[in-house]
Amino acid sequence: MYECPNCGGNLKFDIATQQLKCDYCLTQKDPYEITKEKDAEENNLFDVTVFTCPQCGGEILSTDTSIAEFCSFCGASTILTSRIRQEKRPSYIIPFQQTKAACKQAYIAKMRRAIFAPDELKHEKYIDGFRGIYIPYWAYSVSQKGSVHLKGEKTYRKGDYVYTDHYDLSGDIDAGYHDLSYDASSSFSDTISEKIAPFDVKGTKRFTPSFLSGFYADTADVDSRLYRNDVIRLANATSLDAIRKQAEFRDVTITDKKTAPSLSNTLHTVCPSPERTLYPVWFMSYRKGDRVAYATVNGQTGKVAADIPIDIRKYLLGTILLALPVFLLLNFLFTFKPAFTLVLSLLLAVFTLVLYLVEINQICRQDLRTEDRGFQFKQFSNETDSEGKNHGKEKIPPTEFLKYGKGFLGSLIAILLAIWIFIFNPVSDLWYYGGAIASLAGVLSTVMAIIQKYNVLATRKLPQFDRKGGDDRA
Amino acid sequence: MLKRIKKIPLILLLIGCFCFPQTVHAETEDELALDPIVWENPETGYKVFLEDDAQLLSPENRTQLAAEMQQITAYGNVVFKSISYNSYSASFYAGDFYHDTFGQSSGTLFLIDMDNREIYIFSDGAVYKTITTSYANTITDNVYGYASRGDYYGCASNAYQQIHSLLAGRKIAQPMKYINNALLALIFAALINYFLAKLLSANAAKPSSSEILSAISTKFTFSNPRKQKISQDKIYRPLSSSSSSSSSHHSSGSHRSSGSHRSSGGHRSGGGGGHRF
Ligand SMILES: [Zn+2]
Ligand SMILES: [Zn+2]
Repeated sequence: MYECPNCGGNLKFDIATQQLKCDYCLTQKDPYEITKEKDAEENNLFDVTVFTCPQCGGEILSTDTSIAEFCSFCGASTILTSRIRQEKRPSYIIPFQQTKAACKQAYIAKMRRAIFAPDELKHEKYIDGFRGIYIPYWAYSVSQKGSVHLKGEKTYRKGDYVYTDHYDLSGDIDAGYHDLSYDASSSFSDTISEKIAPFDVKGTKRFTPSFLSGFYADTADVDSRLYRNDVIRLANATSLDAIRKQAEFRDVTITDKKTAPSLSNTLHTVCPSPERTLYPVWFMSYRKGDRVAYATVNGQTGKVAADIPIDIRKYLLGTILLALPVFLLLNFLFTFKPAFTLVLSLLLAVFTLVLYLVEINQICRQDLRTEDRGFQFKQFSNETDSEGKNHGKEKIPPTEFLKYGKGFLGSLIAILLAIWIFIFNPVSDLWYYGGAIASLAGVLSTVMAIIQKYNVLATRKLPQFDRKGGDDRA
Repeated sequence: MLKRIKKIPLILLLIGCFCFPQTVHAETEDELALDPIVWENPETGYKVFLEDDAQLLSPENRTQLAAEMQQITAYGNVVFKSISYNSYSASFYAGDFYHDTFGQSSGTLFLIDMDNREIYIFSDGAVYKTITTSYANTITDNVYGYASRGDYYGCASNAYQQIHSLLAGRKIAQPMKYINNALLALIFAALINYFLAKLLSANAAKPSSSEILSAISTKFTFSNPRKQKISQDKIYRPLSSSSSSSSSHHSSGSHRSSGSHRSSGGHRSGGGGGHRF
């Protein structure tokens, strides 16, 4: 707690004025002027209250000792246990720029569009649960300085001959990429942090603990080396592109590969240990059964990213409502014979089956990649591999595929039934109508199976945090 | 009043049958029955033509049906034809038979093809503008059940009634159209709605490299760029003339297609639809 010098009340960071403000006497103070004893900059650590959720083990930090009544990670409403701990001091912070009211506004605007989302996600009471959390990021900086030698070639035709000229290209590079930021909290999913990115690091301020007053912070527990290769790769590719655009090299094709690991040597790429930073995020969780969905708003830019499941009942209702205008349009344009209708519904069932395979393949891939951070870390540290190859392009074995359910059966049965009807070739329309109804049922069941899988991916497993170590390296 | 008008041509027709004994050159009793009933509407000049080669109708049914067909002659010729042998499709036979009988004149034909077990309505001229292919399909779908049960008179009679209703500007029931369209509408809606739901629930895509780079501070200078040629490869690869030959193929193809179009289109007009039974 930061005491008001005037009345002894609690000073909290006020977003509108970007100052510390007393709730009682409205005194305003510069955050850098207000420090506790242990906040001194020469000290590498600062005191925080650690709140731990008894249900999921999630930890959240605060400079206040007041009680936290719910867990942002698993959505549990429970009194979190608290204790004092010393945290490593971040170097920089982007203070909250978006007020809670603005954040709610941005979220509501997004949810207004999401007409298939469950109603609970739009309840005022739920929306009020947004909590301002500073998320730790690793801010990497890369510099490239020195003389560069690259290979290039130029191909042209003269009569019946094709000539290829080979060139040595050289020059002196002086490049820098500062504060490329990556989420350093394992409890804050990468899939979310990617979507509310980027933070404008030009708004970064030198850290002082009083910025946190009135807000929470997350712990940095992700290895600082995790994103290093991403950063180097991005810097190398960007610099190489810039070199390609040099006027002198316009007519030559540079043959060095963007993704080659050796490029780091060629460009003299240096990437020292990243800085600890804190970026502001409005955070809210929605719990349903054993799944939890998160909604986040970038506390600096107001960009919204939310896990939005599709409500199956709303989907079915929407389908019926949409069928009406389609029906009227078809009546206006066509008179189909039953056999033709069956052909068309057969084709639509085939389309649905293909859609299922494509969508489930994607969901499967995403699932396998996001659930396992170790797997991801291992992939990125494998430097001998060129970009892309290992990024989830590998085929998923059929056995893995079947684990994702048998939602395709509906369409498949409908397709087989339709083919059987065509072979049997009955006179009565009723057979064809029956086949088309089966196609409808098959398409619906398959699409609903896709939606269910989509919802599983749009939500998350209830988190279970096991915090024994943390990151001791950086 | 209406009933009396209807009766007069019927009487005329019956008299006609007795007065012109075309059965003279018929050799058997069976063939006697095959003689077509022909009647001409004195006001419009359009004709009723009923020929029951497959002998599906009783003599009473035949005269009854001919009488019912007369109301259509206000709009065009009206033909009933039943056949027990057909080496073509029902649709081809129907069009061919109508054109042989009435040329390009406006009218409609109802065919019961016992060989293909198919009923078919063919129309041409002004009548075809009303009894379109869609309506021919609708009507045959409405009445094919009679034929399936062996009630050929009921089948034809209902078909003519519905044809007349349409020509008179009234509406007919279209259960086939509505059932098919409803089923297809639901399937289409289920799929469209899925993409809609996904689109509306989606988050903005994660930022591209260039967006990320624009949010950070970067610098890039590249000084003293130098380019030095070190070697040269030379490969013999003469230009081929494949492009010119492919263009000549293209033009010959288009000639062929225009030729086939002429031969397939041309003299045939009108159209219709049918249903197996
Ligand atoms: Zn005060
Ligand atoms: Zn929890």
